[in-house]
Amino acid sequence: MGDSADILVIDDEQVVLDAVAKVCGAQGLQIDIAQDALQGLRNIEKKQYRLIICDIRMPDVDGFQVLETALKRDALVPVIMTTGYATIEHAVRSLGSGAVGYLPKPFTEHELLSALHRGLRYATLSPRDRVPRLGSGIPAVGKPEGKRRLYLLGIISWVRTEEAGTALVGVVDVFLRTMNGVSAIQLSQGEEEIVQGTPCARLTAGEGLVHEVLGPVSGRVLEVNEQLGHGPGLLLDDPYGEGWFYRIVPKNLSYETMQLQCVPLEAPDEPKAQQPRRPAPGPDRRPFDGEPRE
Amino acid sequence: MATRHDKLHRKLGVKLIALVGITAITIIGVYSYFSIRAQSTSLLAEVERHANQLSETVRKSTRYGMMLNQRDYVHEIINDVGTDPAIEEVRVLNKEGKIIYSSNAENIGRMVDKKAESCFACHAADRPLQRLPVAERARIFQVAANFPRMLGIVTPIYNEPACWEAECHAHPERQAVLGVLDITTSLAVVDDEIQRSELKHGLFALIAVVAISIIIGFFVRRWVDAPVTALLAATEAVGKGNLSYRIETGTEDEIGRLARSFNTMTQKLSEARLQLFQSDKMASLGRLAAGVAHELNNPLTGVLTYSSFLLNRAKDNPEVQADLEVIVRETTRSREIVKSLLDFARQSVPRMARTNLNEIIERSVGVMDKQLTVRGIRLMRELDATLPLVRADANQMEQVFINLLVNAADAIGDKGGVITVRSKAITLLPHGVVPIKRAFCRKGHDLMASEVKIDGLPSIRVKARSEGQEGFIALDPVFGSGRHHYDLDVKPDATPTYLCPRCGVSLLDNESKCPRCGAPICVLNVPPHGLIQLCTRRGCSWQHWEAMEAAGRRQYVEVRVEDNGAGVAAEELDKIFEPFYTTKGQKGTGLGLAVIWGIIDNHDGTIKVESTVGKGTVFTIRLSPDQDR
Repeated sequence: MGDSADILVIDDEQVVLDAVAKVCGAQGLQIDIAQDALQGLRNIEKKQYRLIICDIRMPDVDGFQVLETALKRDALVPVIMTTGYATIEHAVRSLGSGAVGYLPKPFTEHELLSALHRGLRYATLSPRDRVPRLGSGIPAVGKPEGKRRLYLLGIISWVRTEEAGTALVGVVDVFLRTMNGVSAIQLSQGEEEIVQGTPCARLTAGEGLVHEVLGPVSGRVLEVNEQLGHGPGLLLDDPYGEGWFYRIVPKNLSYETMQLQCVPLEAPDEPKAQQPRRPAPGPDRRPFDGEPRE
Repeated sequence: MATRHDKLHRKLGVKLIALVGITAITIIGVYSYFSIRAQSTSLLAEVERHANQLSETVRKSTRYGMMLNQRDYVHEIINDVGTDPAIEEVRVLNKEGKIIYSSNAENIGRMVDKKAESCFACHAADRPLQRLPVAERARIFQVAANFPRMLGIVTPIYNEPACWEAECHAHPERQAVLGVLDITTSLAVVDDEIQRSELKHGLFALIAVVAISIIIGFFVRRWVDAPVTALLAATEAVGKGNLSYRIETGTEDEIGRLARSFNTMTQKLSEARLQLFQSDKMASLGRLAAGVAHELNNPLTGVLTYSSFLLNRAKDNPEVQADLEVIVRETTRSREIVKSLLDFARQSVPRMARTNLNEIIERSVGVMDKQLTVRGIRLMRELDATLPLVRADANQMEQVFINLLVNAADAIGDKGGVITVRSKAITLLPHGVVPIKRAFCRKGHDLMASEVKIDGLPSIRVKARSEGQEGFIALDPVFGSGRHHYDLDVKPDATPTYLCPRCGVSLLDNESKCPRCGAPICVLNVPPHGLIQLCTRRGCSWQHWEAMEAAGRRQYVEVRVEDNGAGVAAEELDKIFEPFYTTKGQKGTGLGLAVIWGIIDNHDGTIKVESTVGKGTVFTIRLSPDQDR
């Protein structure tokens, strides 16, 4: 391991480190491993990694502290959080705190590869492309309405409240940019409920990897966007508008959105209004206004 | 412990007996005292009267002798009288106080001091002589401590014409009293009698006190001691943690009521403890599940990543690829099981989707197939091809079926047998099918009680009063099936009064009667489905639930998993769905059926078990078909 390592893997289980090393090695990626959080933090101080994969539950220092420190040092470094104790809270907190991905254990090779690819592609994006570009996509429906809000689950998915009490759910543009194109969209057909922090849609990328979109909130699906059946064009052109996935009746919106970033929809045309407010707790959050790095 | 309590209750009994004894002694003592006094007073009065009479007789019989101044004759009479053993001394004193006659010859001629006791009554200091009544002329005295008491009576001998007109002219006319006759009698007999009477009274008092004490002691022992001892024993038993200890409650008095409220208290305590225990159990189960999930997921990561890695590189070796596919598929299923374990621990909602149960059954059977074949178990499937879809979490339902198949296989053992899985769509009246999950009294107190489960469901607990007895009835929570558990003696056809166990409000509907038998009916609030009415007569299963009956026959998807294994005894059947209850000894965790019950309950379905020892067991699951589409 020299300065050329691409990926840092932090996990207190040797078998997990080995498994990740095996998959990454097959992809020709160089990895550094750290068996505890402090070792990981020392590595982060020393080197610039293209991607960090970090376990949440570790002795002494937990994964969220590693995530926070890594982002403090480099606000746009892609971090993927993994955990054997997969809960909705962990998923939402990971993505809300600035992780690019959340990968519950155990995972298959493909699931790991999907996360890896998205993370590595994220690292190649320009700083401007690494934050959601909301303005262009949000249609100015009627007058600015205080009640209507857009909430983001990290850079994965969004939910937009509607006046009827329903809400639209879709995927964040950054998520699409971290994919190598979109060849197929698989929305839940049989499933009538989506659950916050668990997969609600599967997008197949150009190279055939399947990327799971985690739901921003829980709710009962009223309507699936049939337009997306014609192809991914609509999704790529207008991810915040015509490219929505589901219309849902939210189950516990007020509680679940406490954990999400809130974007008011008063002035959709103002480019600077993209800057999302971050009501969720946490001392350090990834800035989303594309402040230049390096 | 025991001796201290013994002393304590002995003390109470002894105190009561002592108190009553002292009271009896006081009363009897006072009574005896006055009674003895009255008796001795009347005896003495009699003796006085008698002595007085004797005096008069002596005076009158000696009068003639004195008149004639025949001293020998008088002497003779006095001496004769004096020989009577009861008479101590008879003497006559002249005016100067000189003894002129005496039955005791040596006293004759002696002078008696006027101030002496026998004279004092008449010759009171500086007062003229008086005529006195008998009582005041009598005196009682004792010569010395060992001598009997004496009664002396003085009778004056008054002057009379015959005396001064007599020839001897011994007495002048102006002299009023010529002398006195003084008779002293012994009180020995009287005192003996008084003493005997005192003894008799004392003996009577003693017998009375002892008898009263024995009687009081007997009843104190029976009414106070024994129940208090029982209460103490119960307190001690409860203190040691035996909350099922009950006291015999025979009497209607305060102690009987105390015993009853003590029983109620321990009952409440044990219920509270049971609830605490249950919730504690669930909490530990949650912690256990979380720990297991975390620990299990790391090794599973190794298996899943490596096997999927290999699978993706084994495209040119179909045989290995097929095997690897099994590993990946089953590891993926393991991760779903671990996840659902976590979900169960967190009581999360199942991820409902429109699901064909037949497909899930096929998948579950596929997993178990090989294992069953090895053990010589034949698996039959009778699946209804037109089965309506249900809203269910496919992974959880798969877990249910796999668990039931594992249970069935374990019940059959290694000797071989048959498991039959049937699915079909059925329509049923709500009677005997729909479970009552919430029930309240009219004041809003929750009546559901999970301590007594009927058919795996928490029962409805009501207080009942029947023929002066009070107790509880656990009502069958399945609408229309009256398998109530009676915790008090209710004869067939009796109609106990139903009350809310919390506030005691009557649950009876005063306005209507059972249309089948005319007995009073009980009404419960079952939100959100209105009211439910049920007949209170034991043996009558009439029930009416407007909301359910209006809906008419309802369709269900039913899956039956049947085995011809060992079967489960009836008394174990009730507990089979409780967490940590197992009939498999070391082999089982006792969680399988509890998890199944939780999953089916989360799906708003029911699971029922019927079993005959030696013949086999049938689990029946009913879910509602998806109505919307």
